[in-house]
Amino acid sequence: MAATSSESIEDLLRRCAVSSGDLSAWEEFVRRFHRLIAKVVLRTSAKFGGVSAGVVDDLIQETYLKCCADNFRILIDFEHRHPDAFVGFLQVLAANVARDYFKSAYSQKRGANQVESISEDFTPSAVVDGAGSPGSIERGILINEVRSHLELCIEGRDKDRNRRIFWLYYRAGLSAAAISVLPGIGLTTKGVESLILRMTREVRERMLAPKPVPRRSKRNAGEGILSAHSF
Amino acid sequence: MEQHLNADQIDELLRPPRGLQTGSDSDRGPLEDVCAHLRSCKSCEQQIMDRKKAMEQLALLKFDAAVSPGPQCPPGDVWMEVAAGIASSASDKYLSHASECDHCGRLLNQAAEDFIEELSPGEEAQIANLTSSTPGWQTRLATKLSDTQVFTPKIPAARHSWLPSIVGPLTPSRLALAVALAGLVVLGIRDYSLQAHLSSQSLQATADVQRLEQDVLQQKTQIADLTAQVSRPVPASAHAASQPPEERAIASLVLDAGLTRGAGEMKRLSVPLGTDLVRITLHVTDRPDGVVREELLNFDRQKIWSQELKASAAETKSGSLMLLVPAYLLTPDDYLIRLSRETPDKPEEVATYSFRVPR
Repeated sequence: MAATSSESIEDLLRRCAVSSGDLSAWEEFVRRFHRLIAKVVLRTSAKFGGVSAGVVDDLIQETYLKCCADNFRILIDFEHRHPDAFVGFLQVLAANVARDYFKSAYSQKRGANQVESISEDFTPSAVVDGAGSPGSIERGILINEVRSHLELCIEGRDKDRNRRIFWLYYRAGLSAAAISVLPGIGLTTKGVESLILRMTREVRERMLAPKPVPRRSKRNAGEGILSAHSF
Repeated sequence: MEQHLNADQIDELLRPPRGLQTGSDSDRGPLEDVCAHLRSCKSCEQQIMDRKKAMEQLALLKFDAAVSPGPQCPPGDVWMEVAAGIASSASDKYLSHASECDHCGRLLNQAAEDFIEELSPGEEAQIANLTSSTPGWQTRLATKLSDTQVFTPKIPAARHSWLPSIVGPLTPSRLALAVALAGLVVLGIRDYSLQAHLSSQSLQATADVQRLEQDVLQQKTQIADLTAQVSRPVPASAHAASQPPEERAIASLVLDAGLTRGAGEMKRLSVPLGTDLVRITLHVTDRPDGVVREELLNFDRQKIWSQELKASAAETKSGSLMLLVPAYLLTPDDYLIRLSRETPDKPEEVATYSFRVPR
């Protein structure tokens, strides 16, 4: 059977794993996932200081070979819980292959089981923004203030999800695209952007209000957001 | 522009960092008009200033410095799977934690950055320049993957090891030779182990088949013996002697011809644990003579047992037929017995009987 780009990932994996010697299946597999694997290997390598293109090629090949390990057990047993499940899995696999390589390389460079001693007159420097610092206290107050405003803005069955999205965006710094692929979010990138925009508007209006805005009626409760007063 | 700015226009002017935006360029409206209005309207200008300040406050929520993990923080390696969208029973808990923890939120953000779909122009160029991006390399790899079953070699941990000094730089021809040799070795080992595994499975299967055939043969012999014994005319005084020679547990049932329509009127046959055979006596309206074919069907009308019966003189006289069925066949279900007789044209149905084996 000739591979087609419209073939589902599930079918493609089955052909790769079950139909031993199906060259067209593996050609399609490599064609479809090469950029994905290369991207993750390159980015992970960059975090560790970067490597030559030859090593990147080796790590990419190693990722493919991991898919075949144990008589394609990974491909056979994979549970396609959602359409992008295998893409996520392959990304983690590629990242792990690259990380394992660098861990091994660094441990050889440094020498296994070797520790460095600290001189007796070593004095650790104070942490500028550590717990208890003025900056940390101010930030804590700000977080509490925003939290209280946010709790007035979100309601309904998606309340927990919306709260999580808000904090992951503003506090952890995740992009809308990154949030949209997280498990349990169930929104597209545009959906996350739109939700953040609405929550930001609500919270911002409450932050500007001279006194706490009383809780309004359950308008838009189904979407998990309450609308703020217009200005 | 006479009207004051609306919420969308203010949001557009405040354009949050990191590309947070909705709508297309055409939805944004004429920004020139907005700016012109802003210059002439103190009220709107003040609103923009206030909201800008609020947005700056929100931007301070992000904490860029590294933070030590707390006692509640999960292991650092969970964030890669969460960032890749791999759901687990704990992913909800992890996400909730990461949204409130600076340490874990940072780790999740770092992991997510690796998986962002969009490639920068630099990354595009890097990937395009890789040897692995060439069609030739990909075809060779696909060939190897399709040929190799359990080939999972470990790549050398680092390029600065002793290996390059011995083998020199890996040219494509050397690499192909090495891969071919390794592939041959692995295929040989795999074939050997597969053959050994298959032959042991084959032996086991043959032994199982032989054992089952012996069981069936033994059971058929016993049924034939019992059928012969029961069919033989037995004097009343000798009834005790007509019992099967071995102490076999037999359940009995007498059935009249005709299908029953309701569950309530269906005859029930209890098959106690340890029962070997079931003796079913069928009342036949027409005097049974000659050879009759009996078929036992389950509720799904699947044939589970069939045999040919020849009525004895006593059976012909009494208008009944007796058949023996192995008890293990009669699991709880509804059953149908169909009697038919061979005619020159086609099998002719003689009678049908139904009964139920309750749970």
